[in-house]
Amino acid sequence: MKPITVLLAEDHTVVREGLRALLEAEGDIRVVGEASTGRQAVVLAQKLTPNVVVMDIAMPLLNGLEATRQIRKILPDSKVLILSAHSEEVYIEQVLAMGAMGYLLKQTSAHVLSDAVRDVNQGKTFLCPTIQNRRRSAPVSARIPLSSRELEVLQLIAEGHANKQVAAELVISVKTVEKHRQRLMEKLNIHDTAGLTRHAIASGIIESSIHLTIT
Amino acid sequence: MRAKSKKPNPNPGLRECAESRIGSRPAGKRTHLDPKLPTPDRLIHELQVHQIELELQNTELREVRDRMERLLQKFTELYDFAPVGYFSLDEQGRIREVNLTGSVLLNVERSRLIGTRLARFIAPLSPPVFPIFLDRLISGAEKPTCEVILLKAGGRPFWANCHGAMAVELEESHKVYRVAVSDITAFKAAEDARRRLEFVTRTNRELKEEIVRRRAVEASLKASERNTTKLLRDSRRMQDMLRHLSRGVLQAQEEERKRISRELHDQITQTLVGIHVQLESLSREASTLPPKLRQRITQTQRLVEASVNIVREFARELRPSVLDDLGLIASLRSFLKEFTERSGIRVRFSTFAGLDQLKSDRRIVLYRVAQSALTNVFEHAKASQVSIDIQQEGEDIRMRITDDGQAFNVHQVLTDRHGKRLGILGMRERLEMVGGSLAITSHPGEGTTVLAKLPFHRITRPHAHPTS
Repeated sequence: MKPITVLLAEDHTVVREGLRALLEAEGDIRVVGEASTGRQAVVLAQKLTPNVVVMDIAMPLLNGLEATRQIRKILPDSKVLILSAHSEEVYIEQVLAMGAMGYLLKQTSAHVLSDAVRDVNQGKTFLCPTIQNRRRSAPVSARIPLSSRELEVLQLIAEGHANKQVAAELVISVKTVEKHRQRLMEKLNIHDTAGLTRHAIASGIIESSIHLTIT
Repeated sequence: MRAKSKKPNPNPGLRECAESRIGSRPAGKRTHLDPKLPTPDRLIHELQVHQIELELQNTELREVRDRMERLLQKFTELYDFAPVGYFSLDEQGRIREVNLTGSVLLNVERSRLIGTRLARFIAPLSPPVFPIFLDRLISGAEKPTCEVILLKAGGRPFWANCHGAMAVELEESHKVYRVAVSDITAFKAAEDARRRLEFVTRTNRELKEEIVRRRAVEASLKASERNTTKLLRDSRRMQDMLRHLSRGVLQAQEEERKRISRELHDQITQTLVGIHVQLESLSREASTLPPKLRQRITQTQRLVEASVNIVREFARELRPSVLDDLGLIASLRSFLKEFTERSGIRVRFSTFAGLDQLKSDRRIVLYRVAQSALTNVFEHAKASQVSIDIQQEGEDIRMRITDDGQAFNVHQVLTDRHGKRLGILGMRERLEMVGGSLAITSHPGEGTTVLAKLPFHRITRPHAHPTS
């Protein structure tokens, strides 16, 4: 079987060499080139047309994000796997939007790097397990069983509706809504609206709490 | 006056005068008188002499009477037209006699004055000295005087000087006391004028002294004002210097944070990641190594991972790398998302795509201001919702952050010397540093609005990753 060709773009020598060693240890992966700046990465990618480019975000001259955009433009078939120390969601959203196939947290990359290279090579999106875990993780309170009516009420409260609106939405009386709210608070041991909202976000009952408008 | 015949003539001149006149009588009746003749002729002669004597005496008397009348008239004129009013008062103070001047003074006919008490004419405003004067007069004091205000009939008051004189017997057992009254109004007025002049002079002098004193005070005030102005100027300069310094500090702080953050990220994180990767290699080769060692390697890797996370978190707090890597919108979004998860406060964020063209040093300003404002909302406002709206407004960028929580007294917080000022001064300072401004309004029931404005300075080179 033809090995997966990889271009390693990483400005920190110790890291780059370490990663190279890890990848080389795998029989099905071959590192065909190394770059220490974004610009170099673009030039080498064009020259070597690797299957996968492993790209650090923070690099001098041209950062990994811009390099990714340029490589994707020149070589639409190449797969870019981003390496980053940042775990903020915006980074992940951004690099995925730019056409990267995967996002690895540097600090845990060593365990999963080769699996990630294989996945993205096959066209699968690969996100660092830590991030996926966090996306799925829920607070302890989320394990407390709530009735479906209570969940409905919780969601509406978390979405910022007043008791009256909740009552209208669920076609129940305001008094009943108050009763549900009371029970929710007792069960979850949370005693303010902000806390309920926090809980709803953390346990995935409501998705994004930021209402974003960009004109 | 009686003629004397037999008695020795008290006026021998008279007989001689009469006898000489007989000689000058018509001749027929004249007889040469022989003193030795005791005849009827002699008797006739005596009678003639006597007659002449009587005639002479009569003439003399008439002359005396005429002289007397002339004197009386003169006296009356003197009395009536004297420059002062003469009042003769009895022991009860009633007027018994008064001259014309007196009646003119009081503007009352003389006949009507008689029997009236002089005290009746004392004005109510007069000094109450008249009764004392009268007592002294009656008890025989030497030349008592007093000054009173008298009322003319008809109402006009005038100052009068009363001089008491000796008592005179007018009728049997009736004593009268003479009082000379003169109008001294003019004198009083002159005295008043003099007194006023004196007062004015004195006041004038005092005023002059006051002026001198005030000038001195003014001079010292001016000096102190100059001093104050100087102090104020100095303090302004100091303030400017402080502001300059604090801006310098803020700027330096921001640059230093960026540098340290970069350093942490580029050097420390990378080194730790390098170690982690090396450890991974090591453990892969470790099929030959004892399992205990492999376990130790894995444990060390976990420690390294934890260290990276700590360093990264620290670096992010110093300077969010998202800001430099992905721009302001992305970093605000990231920050707001985390803010919502942490606080449970819902966030609405609206902005415009062109915002990311904002120069880097201004981006961090808006980011820090938003961060401060939201920290306040979380810590103080008890809000359930907050909205951030960033828009272009002419040549400015305007950021409005509004919450629905508790209001606070902006002025009080800003002037609180001891308490926290909620980072408002910092926000303001950062904005003013880049030519912007900050306004905060907070009203109970309406929450708080933080309004930040700054000039829209765009980056000159094309953006590193324009959203296309």
